[in-house]
Amino acid sequence: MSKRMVEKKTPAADTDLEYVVLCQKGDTEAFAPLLKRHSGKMLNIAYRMLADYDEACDVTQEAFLAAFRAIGSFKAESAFSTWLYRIVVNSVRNRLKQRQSRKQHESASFDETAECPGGCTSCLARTDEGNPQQEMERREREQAVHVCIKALERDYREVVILRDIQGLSYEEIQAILNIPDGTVKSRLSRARLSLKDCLKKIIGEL
Amino acid sequence: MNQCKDIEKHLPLYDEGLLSDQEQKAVEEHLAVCADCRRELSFLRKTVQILGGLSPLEEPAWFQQKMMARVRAEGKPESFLKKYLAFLRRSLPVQIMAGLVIAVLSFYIYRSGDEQMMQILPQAPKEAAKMQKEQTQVMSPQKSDATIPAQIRKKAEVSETDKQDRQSGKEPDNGGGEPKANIRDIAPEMSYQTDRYHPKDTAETESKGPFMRQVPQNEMPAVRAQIAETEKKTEEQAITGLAKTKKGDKMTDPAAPGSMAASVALPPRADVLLQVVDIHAAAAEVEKTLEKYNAKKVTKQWTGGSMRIQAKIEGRLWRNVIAELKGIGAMKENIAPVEAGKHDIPLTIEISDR
Repeated sequence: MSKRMVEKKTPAADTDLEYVVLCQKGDTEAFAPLLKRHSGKMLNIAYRMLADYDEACDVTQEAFLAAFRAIGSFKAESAFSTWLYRIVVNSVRNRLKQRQSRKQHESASFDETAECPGGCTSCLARTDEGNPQQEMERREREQAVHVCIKALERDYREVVILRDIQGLSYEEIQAILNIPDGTVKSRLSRARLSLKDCLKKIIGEL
Repeated sequence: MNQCKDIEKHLPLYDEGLLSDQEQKAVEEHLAVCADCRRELSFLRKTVQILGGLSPLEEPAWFQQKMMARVRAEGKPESFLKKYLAFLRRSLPVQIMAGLVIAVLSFYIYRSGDEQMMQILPQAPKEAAKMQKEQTQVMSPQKSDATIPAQIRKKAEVSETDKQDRQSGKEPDNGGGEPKANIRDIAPEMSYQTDRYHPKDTAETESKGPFMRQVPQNEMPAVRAQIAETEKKTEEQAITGLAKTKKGDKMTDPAAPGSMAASVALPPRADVLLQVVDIHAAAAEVEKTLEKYNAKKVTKQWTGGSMRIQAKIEGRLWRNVIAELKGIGAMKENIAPVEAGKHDIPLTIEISDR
């Protein structure tokens, strides 16, 4: 592993723009392809940050609606996807604040003993590992990862989710979180070290 | 060991080549000689690999359809009202909005309470207020303390007379009017003397006005007993009258609970409206008539378009006065008093050309 891994993804040509322009002109139906392209990723970001499937669905919907309402103000200074992810991250932050203000302990909505954290036993995409033993190990590993991610501070969690789970570029992460490059890297570095230590504690030898 | 800790800080970004050349070189050199740090690096690689290999979440089946439905609903042009409400919601804090809503509701409930009272007693509140006002104007606050008890006593006597009349087979003489009508007409005057009905404006007068305060405290129990007795009798009288006439709706039935049946305890008085062609000529005639019947305290007042003459007539003569007044012009008796015997009756004559 070396410099060839510097950027996992290059910013794709923003093919969303033509639909965005149509939406800006009042064509509501042009929002459908944008929704189809980005809803999965937005839902995943929200779910990993909130650790609750229903809340993630809710927040993603709110984020899409907010995006649709504000689409007229989109100036194409960044990719549309970056703009969308920024909205969903902000929506998640608001939801976390609300949750905190309700003094609802996160563990109440996050059942660590559940087969799939956040009560979404059927929401994770199926893998074709075939071997039940391997499938069980995979699920245990994912559960451990989920617990460790949840234990991270919000700032570290955001960076590690966007980079290591969603595979976004550093430039995209900077734009989404509106923080400098050095901050992204330092947060990512600490987040990875914390996760490694946490997983070692839960799983043992990785 | 110290060097291991320094190196470990750089390991998470080492694989991506994000370290400076110097840091990159230092890490490489250290890894070549430190097995622990190599193991830590492999743990880190495994961690990143696990994170990257997490199963993606699937959307619920309804997700996109529901989203598009909401987007379509959002895309519809908003009505003016919705826009206005949204503007208010944005510009006014919730507390102010809530305060406004409560204030408007309170006012509405307050007003609707008045309307309901008007429906129950269609005439009473207005007339009570009107008569109360007139009473206040006519009877000066400096009136003697004994006035009201004396009037109440008069009522009791009048009522006793009525009872005797009834027992002797005669209809109570109410100045020619139906008992029900009389009671209803007189009723508003009761508002400050009984606790049966208290319109808002008169209730205030009751507590603050000069009338009740003028009744000496030691006289009150006796006076109340008299009032209660006369009320009872008058109710009986009203029921008899109603049975005879068999008219009038239930809401204004004088025999109904809290009705105006208690009005017999009121001081007798007569209000008369004369409709004439020449007001001044008629006024002169009225004055002459009053003089003829030894009217006391005659006052004359021009009230823009009509002449108001007030006087006090001896009880036994007032019927004659009314009869004479009928000869002067078209007459309407607003209030027909009961027989007052030898006591004086305040008489108000309004002369108008309309």
